[in-house]
Amino acid sequence: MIGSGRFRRYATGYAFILPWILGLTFLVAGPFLAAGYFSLCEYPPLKDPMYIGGANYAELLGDPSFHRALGVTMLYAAAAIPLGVILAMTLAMLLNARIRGQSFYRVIFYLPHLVPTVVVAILWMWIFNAKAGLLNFVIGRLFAAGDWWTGLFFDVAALKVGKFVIHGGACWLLAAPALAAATWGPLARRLWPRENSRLRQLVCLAAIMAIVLAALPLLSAAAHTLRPEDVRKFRSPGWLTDGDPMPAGVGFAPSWALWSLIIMSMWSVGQMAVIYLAKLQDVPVELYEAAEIDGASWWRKTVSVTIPMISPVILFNVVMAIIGAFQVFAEPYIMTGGGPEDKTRFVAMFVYEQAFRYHRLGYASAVAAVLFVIIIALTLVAFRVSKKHVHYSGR
Amino acid sequence: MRGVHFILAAIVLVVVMVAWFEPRPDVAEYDPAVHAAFKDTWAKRVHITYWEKWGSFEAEAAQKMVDAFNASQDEVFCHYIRTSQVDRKAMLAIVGGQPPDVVGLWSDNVAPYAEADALMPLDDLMARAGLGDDHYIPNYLEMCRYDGRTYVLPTAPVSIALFYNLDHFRAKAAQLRAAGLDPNHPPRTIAELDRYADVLTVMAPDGTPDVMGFLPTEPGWYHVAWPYYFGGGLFDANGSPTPDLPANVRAFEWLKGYARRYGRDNLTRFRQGFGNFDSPQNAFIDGKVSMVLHGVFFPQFIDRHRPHLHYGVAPFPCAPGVRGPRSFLNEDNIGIPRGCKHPEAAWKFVLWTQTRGLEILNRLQGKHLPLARVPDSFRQGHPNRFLKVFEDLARSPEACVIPTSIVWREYSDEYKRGFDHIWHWQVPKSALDGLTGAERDQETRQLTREEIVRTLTDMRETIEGKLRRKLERTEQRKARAAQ
Amino acid sequence: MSIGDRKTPWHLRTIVHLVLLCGGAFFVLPLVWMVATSLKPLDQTLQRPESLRSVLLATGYTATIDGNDCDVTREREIALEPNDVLYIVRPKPTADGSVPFLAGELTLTFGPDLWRKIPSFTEAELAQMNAPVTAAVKVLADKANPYDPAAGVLHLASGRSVPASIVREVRRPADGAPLWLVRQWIPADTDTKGVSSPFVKVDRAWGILRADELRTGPKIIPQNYPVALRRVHFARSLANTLLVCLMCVGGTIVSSVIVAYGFAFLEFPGRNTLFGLTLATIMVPFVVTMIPVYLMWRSVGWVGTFKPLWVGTWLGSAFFIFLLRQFFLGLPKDLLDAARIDGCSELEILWNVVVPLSKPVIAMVALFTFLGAWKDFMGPLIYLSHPKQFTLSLSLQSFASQHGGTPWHLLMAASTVFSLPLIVLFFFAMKTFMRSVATTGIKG
Repeated sequence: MIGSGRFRRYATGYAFILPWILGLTFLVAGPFLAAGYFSLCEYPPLKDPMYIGGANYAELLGDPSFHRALGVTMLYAAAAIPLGVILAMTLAMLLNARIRGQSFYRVIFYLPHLVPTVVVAILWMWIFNAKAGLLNFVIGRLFAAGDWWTGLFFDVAALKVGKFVIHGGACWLLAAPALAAATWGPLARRLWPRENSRLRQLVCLAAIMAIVLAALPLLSAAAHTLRPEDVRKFRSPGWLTDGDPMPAGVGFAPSWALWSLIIMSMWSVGQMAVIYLAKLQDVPVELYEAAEIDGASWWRKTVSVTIPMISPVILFNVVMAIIGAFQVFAEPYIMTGGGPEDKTRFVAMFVYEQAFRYHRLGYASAVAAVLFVIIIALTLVAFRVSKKHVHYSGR
Repeated sequence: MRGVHFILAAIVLVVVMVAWFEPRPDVAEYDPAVHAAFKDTWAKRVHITYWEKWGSFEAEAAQKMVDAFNASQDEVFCHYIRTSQVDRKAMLAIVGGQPPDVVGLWSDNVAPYAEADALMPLDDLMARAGLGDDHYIPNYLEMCRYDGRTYVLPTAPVSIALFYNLDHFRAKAAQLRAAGLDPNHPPRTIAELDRYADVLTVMAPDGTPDVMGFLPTEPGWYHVAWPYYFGGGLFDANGSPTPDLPANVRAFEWLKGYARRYGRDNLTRFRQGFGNFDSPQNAFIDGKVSMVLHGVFFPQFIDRHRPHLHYGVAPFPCAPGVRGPRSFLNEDNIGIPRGCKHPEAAWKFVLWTQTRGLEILNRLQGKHLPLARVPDSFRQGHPNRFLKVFEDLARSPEACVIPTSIVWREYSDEYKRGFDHIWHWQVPKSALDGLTGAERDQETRQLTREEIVRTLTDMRETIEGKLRRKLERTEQRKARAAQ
Repeated sequence: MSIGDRKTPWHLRTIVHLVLLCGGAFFVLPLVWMVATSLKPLDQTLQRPESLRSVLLATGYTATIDGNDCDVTREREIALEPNDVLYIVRPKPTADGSVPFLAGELTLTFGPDLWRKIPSFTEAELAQMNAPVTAAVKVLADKANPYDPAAGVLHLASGRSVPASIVREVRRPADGAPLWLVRQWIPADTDTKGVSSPFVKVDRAWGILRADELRTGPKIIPQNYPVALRRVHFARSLANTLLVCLMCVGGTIVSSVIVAYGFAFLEFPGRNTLFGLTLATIMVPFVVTMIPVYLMWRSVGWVGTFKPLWVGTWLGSAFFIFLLRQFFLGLPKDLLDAARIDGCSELEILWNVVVPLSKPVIAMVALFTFLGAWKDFMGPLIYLSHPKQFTLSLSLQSFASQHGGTPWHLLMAASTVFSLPLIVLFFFAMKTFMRSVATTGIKG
């Protein structure tokens, strides 16, 4: 071919990335600029856009329903992201343990991510159904008096001490500290000097289970004393139809409907967990061994070695989750349609509605522009915060 | 060309072919099982699509109407397509440039669609066909008009009335008589309604109602109707929004009275088990609520799920000083989207429905007719026992209708939000500290009224702002177009 | 637990197992509930479950009605006063063998649950309706339509009197046991369309039975699946979804591999800036470009077709470009140099050297793209409006939002079938997937 070798090389390079350039122009950059222009217009879908200057933005600043939608989205992000990260990390660490059947567990926890969004929405709408749904059935059983082990919750909540003792709950409550002392601390060192004695391990297992089993009725009793309105409502909640804040009395708290959506999003942490898992397996073993030599406990090892090593992934996931929260659409659209009193109207739904229900494409574009700015701001904040905490292992 | 270049070219070619030859959904699919009767004329007919919202037996009734149209002539064949959320889908299709030929809408949709220029105005066509204003009951035609032009025509009208459970009334005859109420007649005033509701309500030991005498949030479709029963309204004569009229405030106070008397959370728990209007778990059908405000179509659904239910229908009582009998009217309608493929054929179909089709449709769906003149054959053997009640209500001079307004969609969303807010709002405990008995009640009522007034005033301001903005923009657009 | 090579002690392993099992239950239980509900009949899905068994499995009743064993549903409890007598009667056919309730009759009674007020039609119109009234029809006489046993006459509410013979007298049982109105259950009952038509077929057995005359057993309704799939137009929706998914997968792979190769191995001015731009576009949320992109597709006339759903993927996907480029950079350079020396063009190097080495990653990209396209809801919602074009997501959502009661059992059946292909695909691809996730990871 004619032309200098360098020109030819550059041309080949551009030819290879040509699809991407086209995509960038027509699907990203072009629409971006167009959205900017439309946000300055009044644009009903079957007519031409009409330039009106910054009127859309002025309206946006004073629009209470937009503020509400933004509030809902931020609340959702503030609750779902930390919970999701913690849950995913815990899950990843558990899935990383060298126990039998690990591949089986990994599949189980990844399954919900494979379920299509529409199915997740419909399925959880059914589960949250106040009358015939699974969740209220389980809760109803937990709060029903009479069963041996479920009676525990009810009795403690009602503080009927006599039955409580008879049902054996008291035994766990008393046994738990005794067992705990027997496995950790000076008492343990006196009782069984050899650390890996079978008996000590058995007692340790019993202690952990006793603490967990005793903690549940204690938490229930505490909740019942401190926040009786919440517990009463929890006995048969309306889930998706309930617009009251939970915890009750806290004005800005997410409503029950929003909490339902948050619980539902916890169901899909499998994907995040798998990514953490992959990164966890990359953590060099030498670091752990070094920590052990220094006498670090399990918790210390997690905090000082595991978390810093996977912190880039955590940052990545947090940023993607922030962006994701601003794109939550299908679930509230199908399940609540905006929810009781707009309590589950997310910003993506707000944009969709402005565009396709109220036929205001210009206004919707202005909202989208503002959202973009907010997302960038939040991402920058995340990166700024991460500078101190995220550790890159370098390549 | 080397191997890999060839592969790449082949891939690109395949993609282009897939994109180019994508089959458009074909309307005129001949299905021998269904269309055998029309085999001969199939090819020469114009095929049109009709998107409509109904399900179950109502859809079958509409199908029967379409079948009758197809059988009555051989120039047009109408394909009836059952579409859920038809207003959203139709708007998308119109905006996307692929609309159906005939679309069934709700009366809420007329103003937004008309304003967006999504429907063909039908005035000229009506004039040419001789379909005048006197063909219809005025209210039902008014709902089809926007800005002086007719965009849709009515198909299935709705009027609403009070349904009351006679079994419950008779079971509690003694208590009703003791309270000075007649167990064989429905309540005639709002105050009586409250007293009936009180007697008929049965409470379970845990404070949740077992049976409610009356529950305003059931079925929850006609929230916009309450102000009209109290003599108020949502628009004034000029089309300005008036949600905060004193009569409306009274209506909301009355509604809130139910939430307060029986406990908002109790009522929420009570409502959780209900099915919707087409289910045996519907509150009224299942006998959980004794009196309910519902529409002319409801007897058919009752008949389907609990045919032996003894119930009666009467006009819903009005507040004192308000002239009755009064009903709030609504309707289903059909229009021809702009940009459809066969507008003339579509008009043939629409015209036929207005002359012959409505009878078939409304007879099978158990509704009355939106027409001024009703043939005797329609009334004979009509499945709705209470046809007369609904017809009288529809023709009554006191019948109320929401005017088609450019801002109604936003208004109704705001209204629903406001209603939910008022229903769920509770007086903050701190405001009632230290008050007991009558003082407490007084203070609660006062604070509730203030909250209602505040909510409605906010609503008015919001909607006025939106209306003003819309009108400004329309003016601007006209001005620029004129330049 | 998650520590190095040293074997974790058994008690801690037990704890991990327990926690994973409980957590696994939370993750799997909804899917189990979905499948369980999909196999129940409609009436049992709408009731509050009474026990764990009724959560998972529906209860079926069988009874003998008119000498035939059949599956029945319990419709209502009938409460009788001690001296009440209910009569189930059969009208005596007239001389020509026809049953005397037809043309002109205001009320057609086919049984206590099928009272219908059918508008009167002519004989010819009635003949067209699918309502064969046979001589076997029986009627429950009640207060509105009483039966006179002495005279053997059924007095209809319309005023007519019809001679009828007694099929059965029903009195309150001495031990006060409940009486149930039962009706023969036919699988088509699960289709809410069939039940409610006034033009319903009549030949269905019903009776009033004591509780001990009913035999119970577990019941599974696999017929929910064909009914649900028909309602969701499964075959057509599946074809549409597969078309979109396959085009998306093809597009993403072809374009992302090519572009990633360009960014990884080719030099041209502005390469790093452009790559940084790629990274930046990952951050642009869909909601920002949604409307202008929609308007662009509309101006080309492609709204209402499938093209907006997949054409974009043929122009590259930022995330996968990034992923693939990182992977390509990790490949041994000497292979590529050797190929260049041999005089291969860049495309050939890509095809013959790089792609074979990258199979696991490409498989992963394909899998994720397929997953995303299969699940996509908002795209089809905006671009597809004609029911014949709907993908599975849209069909299911359309079905769920229909006017009227929600048939949960059918919804769950459709949902199960919609989720199944991905799960199956995942199982097959699991080995490849797990390996490639480990290989690529997200490195810093």
